[in-house]
Amino acid sequence: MATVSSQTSTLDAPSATLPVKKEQQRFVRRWLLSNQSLGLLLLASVPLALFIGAYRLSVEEVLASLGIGQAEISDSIRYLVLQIRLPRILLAIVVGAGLSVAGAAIQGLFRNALADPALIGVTSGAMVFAVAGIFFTGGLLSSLSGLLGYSTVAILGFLGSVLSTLLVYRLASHRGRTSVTTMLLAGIAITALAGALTGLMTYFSTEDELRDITFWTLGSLSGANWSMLLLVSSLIIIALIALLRCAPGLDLLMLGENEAFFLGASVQRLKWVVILSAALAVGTAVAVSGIISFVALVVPHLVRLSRGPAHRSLLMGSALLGAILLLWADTLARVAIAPAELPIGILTALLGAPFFIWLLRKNQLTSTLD
Amino acid sequence: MKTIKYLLSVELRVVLLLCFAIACQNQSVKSPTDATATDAKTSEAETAKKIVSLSGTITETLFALGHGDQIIGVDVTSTYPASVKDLPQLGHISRLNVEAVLSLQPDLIILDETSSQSSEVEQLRGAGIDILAIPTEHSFNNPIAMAEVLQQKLGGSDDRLKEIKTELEQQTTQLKDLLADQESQPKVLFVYARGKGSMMVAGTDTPADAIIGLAGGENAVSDFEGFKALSVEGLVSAQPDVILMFDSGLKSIGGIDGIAEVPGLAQTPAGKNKKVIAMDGLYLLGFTPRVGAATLDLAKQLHNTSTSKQSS
Repeated sequence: MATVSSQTSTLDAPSATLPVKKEQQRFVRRWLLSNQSLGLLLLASVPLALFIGAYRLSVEEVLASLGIGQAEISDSIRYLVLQIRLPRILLAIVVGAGLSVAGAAIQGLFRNALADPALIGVTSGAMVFAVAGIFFTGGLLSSLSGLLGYSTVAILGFLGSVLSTLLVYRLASHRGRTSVTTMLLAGIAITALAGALTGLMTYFSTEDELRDITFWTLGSLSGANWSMLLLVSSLIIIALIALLRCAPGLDLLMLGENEAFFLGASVQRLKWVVILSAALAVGTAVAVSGIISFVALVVPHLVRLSRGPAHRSLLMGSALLGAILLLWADTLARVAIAPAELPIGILTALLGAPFFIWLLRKNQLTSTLD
Repeated sequence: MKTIKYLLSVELRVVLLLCFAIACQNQSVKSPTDATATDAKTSEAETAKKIVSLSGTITETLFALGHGDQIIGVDVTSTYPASVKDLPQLGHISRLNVEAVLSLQPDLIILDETSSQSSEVEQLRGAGIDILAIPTEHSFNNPIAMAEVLQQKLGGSDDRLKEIKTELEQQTTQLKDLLADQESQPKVLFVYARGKGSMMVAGTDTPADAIIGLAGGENAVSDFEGFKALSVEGLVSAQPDVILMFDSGLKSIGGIDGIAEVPGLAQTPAGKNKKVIAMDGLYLLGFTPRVGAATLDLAKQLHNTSTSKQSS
């Protein structure tokens, strides 16, 4: 009630209560994006998303398949909830957290809020290898795909992202020092090269391959299962822990590379850990889900707006918010055009880009006002 | 603190409301399955299988066999007969919405063998649904082989199967008679177009190559396998007498006037005589029960024995 009355009084006498209202707004925003409330929201989102899907299930049916309640359900419903819906929800959470934290850490390392894991070649490397996986399945890679089955493309995508990142890192390292600027430029060069190779394969691909390639670049979390989830989440969690441990170093790095060094940060080691962990997280995410754009760029921005640039809280917040956003984006992708399925990469870009533009405009306006 | 309490209560209310809304929605549309139907006679359940078909050729063959009314969902390539567009459309096979397929509660999912290896299909199999993968061969025999597999799986009278066989036999004889009178083999170039920027030609080991051969033509390109992008020089050196396309493809490049603008085409016999044949994709290259009709149709147009529809 207090808020409501203060709002009405704002209308009556704007000049007197404006600072109070602003203070309140800031407080509300900070609270909404605090770890506790994001954590709560994430916890609430999982069961909520479990009820939503193209296959309509009643609350009792979902609960019964989780082993709660007495309702009689068929095996196929239990399978649907436990083997299809639940792993997919958890995969969305892990992938969302991985992408967002990697994005936040890369932005910190480059000291540039526009940096994106795609800049250092992670995404394009994964793309070349995955497209090669689709393109050569019939011929060159047939024995490999016979061995790995339909996860060939995912495994190749992961290999591609790690290899291209290592290549970019090598190119930018000279006598034990890695230049961040060179890395950025090398990343752009590798991305261009990867784009050309991908284009070449796309150009010579058959109709079916072309469709598979296009679908892969649009991203999707369908086909998630428990063994995939176990593998992906352990890799991403390793990367997340490594990145969180880099937070103090990244904070020092904001002062500048030399300053951080003289303050006692082992800058070279920091770069190495951040790059490899980000490549691990993004590479794993891209391998299982294709290209999900914009999450790694937008989520850290959102968190930074309310929390400021301190990295421990930025990374934590990005992980939580990224998980929530991707979970709901995927839920939307599952039901939006059912019985067909919408590629999630389209959704994240479609929702993310206008939001980002709005954010930019709004910040410009407020900063000129301030 | 007041703000926090206020927000907490708001958040709580929103969550509760959402839960309530979802619960209501779900209870009102309870799925009409389970217990009651399962103890019916098994033999009856066998014949009344609910089928999801994920291939245009398979869908068409099912209809030809008289099992069309059992189909409860189709993929994007299923376009014939026209009534399939009223069925739930499940999109493209490589982007299946597993839940949506399950929500149709099919007993059997039929798909082409080449698309049977994916994690989505694996999930459907895991949900206990019978999956039947059928290979496609690019020959007259394809609809018969496919129909026999389907007939064996679905049971029922095989009158329709016999009909398909006799019709194809008749068409084979007709085609033989027609081709016996022809001395020349026109060189045919199949162009798969998706707008002017994306045109591919069919080499050997493609369905297009097979149908051209069956219809008494010769594929204008034989020096590579599969599809390749169309190059001007390749087009000129191939010297096709006829350009063969999907009608959707011809439309995408602006019809017969649009194809005249394709660089190099004017230097070929096909371009000079404006000889373009356009047909529906599934009809021409689906190797469905209509393959006999399609081949006859193509053969007649290739050899100018009937009024050649030079397409609109």
